[in-house]
Amino acid sequence: MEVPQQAKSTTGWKILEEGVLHWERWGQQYALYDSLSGETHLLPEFSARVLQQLSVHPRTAEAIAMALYEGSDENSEREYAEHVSQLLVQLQAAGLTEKIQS
Amino acid sequence: MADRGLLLQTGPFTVRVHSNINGFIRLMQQFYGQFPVVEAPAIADFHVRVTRPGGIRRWWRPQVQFLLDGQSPFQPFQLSHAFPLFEWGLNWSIAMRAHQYLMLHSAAVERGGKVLLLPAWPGCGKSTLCAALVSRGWRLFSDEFGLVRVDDGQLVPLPRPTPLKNKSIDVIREFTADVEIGPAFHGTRKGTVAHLRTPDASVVQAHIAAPPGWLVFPRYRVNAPLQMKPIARPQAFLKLANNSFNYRLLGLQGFRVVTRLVRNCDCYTLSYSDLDEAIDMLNRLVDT
Repeated sequence: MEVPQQAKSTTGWKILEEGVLHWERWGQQYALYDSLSGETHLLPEFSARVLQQLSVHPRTAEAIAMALYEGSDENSEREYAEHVSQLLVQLQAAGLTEKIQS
Repeated sequence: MADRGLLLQTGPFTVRVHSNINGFIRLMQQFYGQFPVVEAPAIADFHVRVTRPGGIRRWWRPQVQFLLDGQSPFQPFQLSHAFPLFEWGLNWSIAMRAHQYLMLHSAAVERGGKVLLLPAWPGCGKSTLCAALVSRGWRLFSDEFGLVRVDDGQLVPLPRPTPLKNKSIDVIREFTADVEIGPAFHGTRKGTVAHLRTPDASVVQAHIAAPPGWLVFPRYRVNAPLQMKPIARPQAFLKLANNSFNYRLLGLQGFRVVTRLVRNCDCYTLSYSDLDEAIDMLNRLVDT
């Protein structure tokens, strides 16, 4: 019997608007100014890398994880994608990202 | 001062001051006598009147009011507090209007061509440390405002009398005999206040801007051992952005000015209780 493949997440993510995020990098931390909201954020490097992925074009959490993951272990890869998903939710709460349904 | 007013140049600002209160005029001569006066006609940045309000209080518990462009932003003070009212009123006027600069709530002093910024909120010993540094030869930019030019990031001097509060008055009196401290005003909203006369050399060089070199967040603690620790630039950035009067108002420009300033400075926190020790430490920091 053929087992149906689990449907992959189709929830995409995007930054609110292009060109509104301004960066300053200090080592592994980033200061980020959002000119849409006027808010300033201090972000660790990983959060900044995730946002930079979205500034290229909207993506799913899995696509971001795939682009950023550097290991070869499949379990770790799944955990990594989960971590990216949680981070995207936190960034949404901070007003930096929003969901898009595809 | 009563008729056409005095056109006073303080740092980058021209202030027209009107008053017919003799005690206030005498203190203006004492504390601003060495400042340049602008020849009329000139465009003033601030039009200030320090006057007695009318009504029955004119005779019973006389008061003084501060007017900016004819409007009174504060409740009147008792008449004898006219000078501190003028000083606070002018600070308020600058903080409300001078948005061509990024304004930090910070003392600023210069040595060797670079500015040491001491950003802090009230109660951290910023003015006391600033007064002590100036008495040891540092050039006074300001005890209250770090005025940062947005186009090139240079600090702009705004030397004015330094208000010492409560115990700081005697601390500075005991620290140095080479300063002139004016009368004590008791019972103000900040307790007892006395003003330190601005050194002539700082007034003469008030047109000379300088780049920032050091960012030191001071904190006076009773009996605390001297401790100066480097802080990471991201943390310094957040502290500085939160310390600014108009960071949010300037938007992206404010972000760019603060990031550039932090990038160009060595950043520290300083905990101190002894002024001599603190000054030695800061001199060594600058001389290395």
